[in-house]
Amino acid sequence: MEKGLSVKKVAVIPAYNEAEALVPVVEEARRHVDAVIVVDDCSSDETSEAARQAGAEVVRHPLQRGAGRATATGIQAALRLGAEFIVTLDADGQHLAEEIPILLAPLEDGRADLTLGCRLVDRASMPLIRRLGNSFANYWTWLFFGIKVSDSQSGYRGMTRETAQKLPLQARGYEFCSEALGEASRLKLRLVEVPITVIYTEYSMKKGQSVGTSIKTLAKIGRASLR
Amino acid sequence: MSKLLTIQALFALCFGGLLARLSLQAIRGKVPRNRAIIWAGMWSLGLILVMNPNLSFHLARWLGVTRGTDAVTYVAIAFLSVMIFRAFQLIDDQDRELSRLTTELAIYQWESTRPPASPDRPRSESPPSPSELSPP
Repeated sequence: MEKGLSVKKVAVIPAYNEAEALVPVVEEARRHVDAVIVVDDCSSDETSEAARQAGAEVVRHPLQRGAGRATATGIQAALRLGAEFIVTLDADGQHLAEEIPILLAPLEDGRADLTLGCRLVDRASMPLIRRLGNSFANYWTWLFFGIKVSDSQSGYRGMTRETAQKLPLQARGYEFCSEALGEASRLKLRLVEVPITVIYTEYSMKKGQSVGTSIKTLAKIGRASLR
Repeated sequence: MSKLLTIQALFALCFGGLLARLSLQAIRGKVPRNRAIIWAGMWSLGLILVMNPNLSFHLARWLGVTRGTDAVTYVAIAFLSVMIFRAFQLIDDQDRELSRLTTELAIYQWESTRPPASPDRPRSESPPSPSELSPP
């Protein structure tokens, strides 16, 4: 990004050991936003270098603090850049960066404060274990945070600057997805669900939440709701 | 005073040792005064109950349970529960603080090594303030 360029739309990509998949994600995202921020959550591989070479701004955590905290750091960095609209997406390539405009449209039109990329529209393409996990997480999110959405664990989201400033994100792990929705509900923000395409590759399945981490996430959602 | 039972002697030794260690730490200034008083009270109470078991019988009657040992067990469980809750709370607070500092440091390092984004938003010379990093 050049010096003095006004930054309106910023993509935030939290990444941990994603050097293998990150470059095409950053390159595609750069076509649709003014700046891409990759938050390297203290990776042990070449994630930072790969992101820099692909043209992203790189914010590196000195300690590994989880996907939730990396997202929060990225959002703060985007605010420091002067972003008016922020979109968050996964680094493993499961989100199509070309759909960023679809996610940002309701925000730019003033119809929403927060948009949520919803994967469940094309249920057939989602592996069964993910489908079950997501259904349970949605129920869990409704139970603890009182908000009903189709895909509470989607990391593909858009938000306005004002929303980013208001959301007090504290969670470290994947439970931040539910925490953000709970806070949005509490703050009475306008949420619009947007259908998105998700690509499940062997790599993204390996990098995503396992059954073990999903159970931990459910426990943490309960804990996060008590804060 | 009747002859001490082995269990009484062991507990007395344990509470006495804890009191001695606490006193040393308090003298060296390693434990805040108010905390030292609370802990000294707890260990002294334990020592008194061990040395004079009849007192636990009165406590049991006051609490509405039949035996002194039951009363001591219930009080100990309640005390441990409070302590575990407090320990978790403390760990949680420390964890959040560590996360906040990680963000703060990461952003400071990033801003220190990149050119200003725009003329009206110059590169910061100091870390972002907590209010900037942690929205209300």
